[in-house]
Amino acid sequence: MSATGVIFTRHGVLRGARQAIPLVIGTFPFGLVVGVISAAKGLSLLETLLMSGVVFAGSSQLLALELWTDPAPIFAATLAALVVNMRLAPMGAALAPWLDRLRGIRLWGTLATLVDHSYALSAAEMRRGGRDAGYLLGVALALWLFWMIAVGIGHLAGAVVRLPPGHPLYFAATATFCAILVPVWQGGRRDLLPWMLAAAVALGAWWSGLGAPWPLLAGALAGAALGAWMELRRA
Amino acid sequence: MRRRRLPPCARARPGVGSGKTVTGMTLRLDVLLAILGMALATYLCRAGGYALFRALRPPRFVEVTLQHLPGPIFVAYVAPALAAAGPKGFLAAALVVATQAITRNLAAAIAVGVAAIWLFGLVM
Repeated sequence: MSATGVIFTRHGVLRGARQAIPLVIGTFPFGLVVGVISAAKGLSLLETLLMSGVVFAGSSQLLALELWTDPAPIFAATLAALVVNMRLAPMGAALAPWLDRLRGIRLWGTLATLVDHSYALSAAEMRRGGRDAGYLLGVALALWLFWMIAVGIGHLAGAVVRLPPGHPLYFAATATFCAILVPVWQGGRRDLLPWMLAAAVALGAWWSGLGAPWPLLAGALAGAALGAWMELRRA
Repeated sequence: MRRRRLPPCARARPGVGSGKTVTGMTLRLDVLLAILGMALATYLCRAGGYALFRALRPPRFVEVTLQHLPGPIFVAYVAPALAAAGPKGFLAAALVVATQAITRNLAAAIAVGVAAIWLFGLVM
């Protein structure tokens, strides 16, 4: 993994975009769910597409929508996005061998598109000796385009269906997060206790009457801190 | 207590809560501010993380905590949501996890979850 000779070309962007297409199979249903829930929460198509376009981070959008109220929960939504997307912070650092060679809009613009999938593919490309940082942007742009399409279709479908409160489709959001947990699980020794603590703290905060996003915040940070403490003690 | 936290208006049909009709092109100031807040927070994570980690080596504990964050985030979200849904929520969640583990297909897992909660709603 050499940091010398890093380039940023149209060819790299296109190659990244092509290699991102198979991932769309996974992100498309997620986008549909975000669109349907947005419609159910009373967001207009424009508001929904605006959120998807500038936030472009599915799980934080879905979580914010779950806390959505009228008027919009500005503080809670912002805090939820901050907590959920904190995981992106070390990804940029891990891609430093590429990013350090970029300047201006290429650097800060590419960073604006960073998502889990573009990080994962680019980290693999970097390990293979890839030197074209355009790849990172290409993956993200392809995902962004299909994300907008999926969310738009979901919103249109949701607006037609007009889900009544308590409709089973609302469970799609919770189901999505349950499913995401499966590939995140890295074994009981690492994850069991931290995840149990996260659930316990979140439930405790919820039962004691704390509103969103506090149960999420407290549970997530408590679980992650326990996980880190256990890992460092083992090391 | 099925769907806690939200006032009834938040779950109502588009536009009912705000007292005005929401059309496809509606853009309300409170919604715009919430979206911009989310966008700013997210960009701070994306770019600020890179800038900060490059400028100074964070304590090892912070770095490892961030690596452990994804699982607890989703667990902390899911736990109260399932508790609110009751036993059928936990049953449906178990089916979702099983489907995802077997098929590795997110769409299938979501569909099974929604179908399960609908079926359980009929019988439980």
